[in-house]
Amino acid sequence: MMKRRALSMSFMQVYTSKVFYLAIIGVTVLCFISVWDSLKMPGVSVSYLIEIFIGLAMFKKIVVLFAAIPFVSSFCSDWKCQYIKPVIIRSGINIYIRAKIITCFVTGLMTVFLGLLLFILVLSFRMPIFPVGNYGNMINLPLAPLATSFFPISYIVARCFVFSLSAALWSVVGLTVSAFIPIHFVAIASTVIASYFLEQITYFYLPDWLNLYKLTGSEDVIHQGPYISLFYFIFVFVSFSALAGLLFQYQVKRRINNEVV
Amino acid sequence: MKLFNVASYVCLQNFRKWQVDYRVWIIAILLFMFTQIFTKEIIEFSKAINIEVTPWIFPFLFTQKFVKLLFFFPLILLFCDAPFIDDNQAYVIARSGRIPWSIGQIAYIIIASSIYFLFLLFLTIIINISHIQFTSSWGKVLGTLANTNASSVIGLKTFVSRNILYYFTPLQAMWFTFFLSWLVGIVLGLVIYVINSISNTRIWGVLTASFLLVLDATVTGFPSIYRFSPVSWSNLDRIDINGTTQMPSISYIYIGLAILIIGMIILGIIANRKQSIHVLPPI
Repeated sequence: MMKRRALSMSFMQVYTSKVFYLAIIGVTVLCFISVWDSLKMPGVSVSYLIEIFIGLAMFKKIVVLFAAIPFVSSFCSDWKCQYIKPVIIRSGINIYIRAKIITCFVTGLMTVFLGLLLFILVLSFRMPIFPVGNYGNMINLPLAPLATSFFPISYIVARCFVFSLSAALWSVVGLTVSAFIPIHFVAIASTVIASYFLEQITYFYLPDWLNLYKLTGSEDVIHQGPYISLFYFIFVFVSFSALAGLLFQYQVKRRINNEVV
Repeated sequence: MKLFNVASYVCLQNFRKWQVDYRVWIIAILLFMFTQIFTKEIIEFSKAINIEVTPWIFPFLFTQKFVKLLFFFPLILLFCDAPFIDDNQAYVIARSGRIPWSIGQIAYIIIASSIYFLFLLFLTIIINISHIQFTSSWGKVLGTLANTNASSVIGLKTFVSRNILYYFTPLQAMWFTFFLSWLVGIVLGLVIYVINSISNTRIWGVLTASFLLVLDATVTGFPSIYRFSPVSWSNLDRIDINGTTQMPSISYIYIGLAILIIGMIILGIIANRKQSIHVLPPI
């Protein structure tokens, strides 16, 4: 019961805040800026612009920043103003930490996913979802079969969802960093920095199935069908987030026990 | 003389804080990331054609309007807490006096802005040092990217301008890009400083500087409006070299920047004389 209350309190903190909704609009605006030059190209479609945004655009790293703005620095505020104490006394430290991690992950996911859906919705008034004619060369495995299924738009939604999962992971990483360095600016900026460096490291030193750069772009890393691949993407991002969450838990407990000077 | 000695101590104190200021370190890391991301294609292209690139990438680093936003935004972050009133500034003002303190803070903006762009300049060279050939010419890689459609083929995110290669030697382009960017950086820093000092907040200065940045991206493609957008003046491609375009001339830019900088320095000092000192929490 207490766990649910702590979680709903965290969620209420985010979803009653204007910042969350502004961040969603920010993601949409950023998407438009990213593909601005391609918007006037002849025969352009929503799926093509999503491919450009996720695959090529220069601003996709900055999207992570918008995912971080609504909640990543919440621990900094809790710690600096010592709001953490009354909450921990009533709910317990583990419940507080779990509520923070889950809310951070879900908020990061929702901010980017809803922002991308809004982008798709606005675009769909002006252009077709898929290009007219044969578009087989414009959709990528492993999610490509979704485009030819009963509900083709699920291909685009799935791609956006995987991209949003990665933003959720970086949000949790930002939250973890904020437990080590409780400064708002550092917490938010560290999401972008961590995404850049960890993607580079996993790109060069880890196998494809753990390569965060390829996983973010929902590339065919395990050579399976769309549904298994989708579950795999979810599994990897949730697992990495859980790992970051464990680090967060470790550091918050140290702080509460006055082990951090 | 005493005034300038005191001002220099005030200025140096701000730099000494950089060692423990996470914001400065994060800005340095962000600049490293952006430079690597936006020069990557040039280096990959040079590897593909097996010719090393010359070290004169800096003049083309922020020629694209949205990339320029990314490179100038950390500068706004650096000065976002202007007029830099933290816990100990009340004691510093009491010891130094208001005018030397103001001069010291303004000198900090001027020097920090130069360090920012020097850091960027050297980053473009250091990050790519293993693929760089030191010559005094532009080199084949930049020449090909400027004069052919190779830049669109490789998906280059910045814009290698043919005009810059034609009108400037590499050293001239490096110097003028650095110098004009530095002056524009000072203008942005002083805008934040003056407006924050007058409004006694942190938000209005940052918003005004951000507006100037976005204005630069918005006026792209309208040469007659460049003369009203100071941030656009840092781009060599937006200067009228031979008097045949509607873009501002270099004399106009120098005079415009000088008026803006001197005007804002005077305004800043006047604002600081009457300003009440509110210590705000660190960012």
